[in-house]
Amino acid sequence: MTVLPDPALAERQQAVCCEDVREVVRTHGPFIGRSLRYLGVPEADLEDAAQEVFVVVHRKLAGFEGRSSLTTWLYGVCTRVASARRRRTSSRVEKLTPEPPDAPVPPEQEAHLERQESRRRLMAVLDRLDDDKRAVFVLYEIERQSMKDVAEALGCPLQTAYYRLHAARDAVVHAFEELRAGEGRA
Amino acid sequence: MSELHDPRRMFDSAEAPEGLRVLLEAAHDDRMDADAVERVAAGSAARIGDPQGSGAGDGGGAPTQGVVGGATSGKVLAGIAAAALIAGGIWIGARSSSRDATAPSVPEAPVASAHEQAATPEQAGVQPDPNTAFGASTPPASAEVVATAKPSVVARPARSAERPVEAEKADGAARIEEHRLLMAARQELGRDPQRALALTQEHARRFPKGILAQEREVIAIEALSRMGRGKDARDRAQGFREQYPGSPHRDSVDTASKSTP
Repeated sequence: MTVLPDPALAERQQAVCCEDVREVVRTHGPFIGRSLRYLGVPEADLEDAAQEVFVVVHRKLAGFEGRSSLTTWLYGVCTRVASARRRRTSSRVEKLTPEPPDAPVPPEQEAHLERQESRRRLMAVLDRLDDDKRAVFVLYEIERQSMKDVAEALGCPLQTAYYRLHAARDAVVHAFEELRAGEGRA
Repeated sequence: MSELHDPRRMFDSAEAPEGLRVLLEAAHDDRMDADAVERVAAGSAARIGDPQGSGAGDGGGAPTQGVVGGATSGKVLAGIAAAALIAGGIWIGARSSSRDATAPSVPEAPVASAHEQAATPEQAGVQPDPNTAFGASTPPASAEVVATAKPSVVARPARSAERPVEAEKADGAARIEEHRLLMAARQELGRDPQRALALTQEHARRFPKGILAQEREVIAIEALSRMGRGKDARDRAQGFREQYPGSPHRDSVDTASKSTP
């Protein structure tokens, strides 16, 4: 059912624009970017995906029923954007451009290199999870949300979220041990 | 279920492999950097504010790196958002219709499939204990069912069908008012923290069940700190940590509450 336009509301919605959006992004952008990254959005798409999250949030703010906190809602939008992008990436037959390499890093930036390496190793582990388990794992273990908020963000029953977490943890440990064994052989 | 009943996180558990704990700790600290956030802010504002989508497709206000496919979707989204605004029509209503119409590239959150629902620990008579040694436990009997069940999208009942249209409109207006009130408070922080604090109090009074309660507290704590009320800021920060233990705003709260003696 579509509600007829409400001019007054539209006007207010329009006012929540530009500068306000910038403030919202500055407040929430750092963790939105982090969650998108570990939810599996390729590094090259990360900023574009984050923009997509905030565009969706802006567009849906008026219709948001407020059954959860804004941050929980944002995480829910993140998981859906990330999932859609992963599907698009995996189903893309031909890429228009090759995956851009990471920006060159001067050798002295050791901390940066270490962070890149940590990301690479954890991604290799997380990529073994399906979308549902990955979302629960990332929101709980990396974003450190409560399980109640995780279930709300993902729109699933709490028990299901617990079950996915349990299965995800086993799979992650297994994948990590394999990764380590592979590195030991190399 | 409260945070108290949640299992110990792996980064903090001696039962998890040490190397994995290190990776998870590093991931938590791996926030998007400030420059990237500024580019996202500019790009988001451009997508929303520019009806022609000039900032969306080509990265206009916010150059995105190596866009492969993402810009296209951004343009579509920007176009939809702009069209909705220009037409003066906001989709507030029925979840079922608004979801389809307003978010073509954002699928619904997967809802537990029938298999999963049936295989929850309670129903399956199995009690997985996430606190047990990671990777060492035998998956419960129903794990395979869950692991192999394809995530299916089960149509949720259209909640809006149960809700009066006027209530939906009121919700939408409240969300926007709530947002604008706190934006005003944030903007006052730099020049008049007392005024910023007063606005957060107004927010608490007008929106006791608002969706921006965490954001309100962050602003209030920073306002107290800027006013030199260090103890009040720390007390309020402590309350925040207890009420929102997993909040992504925790770092901001810690910083604000420690900045004044």
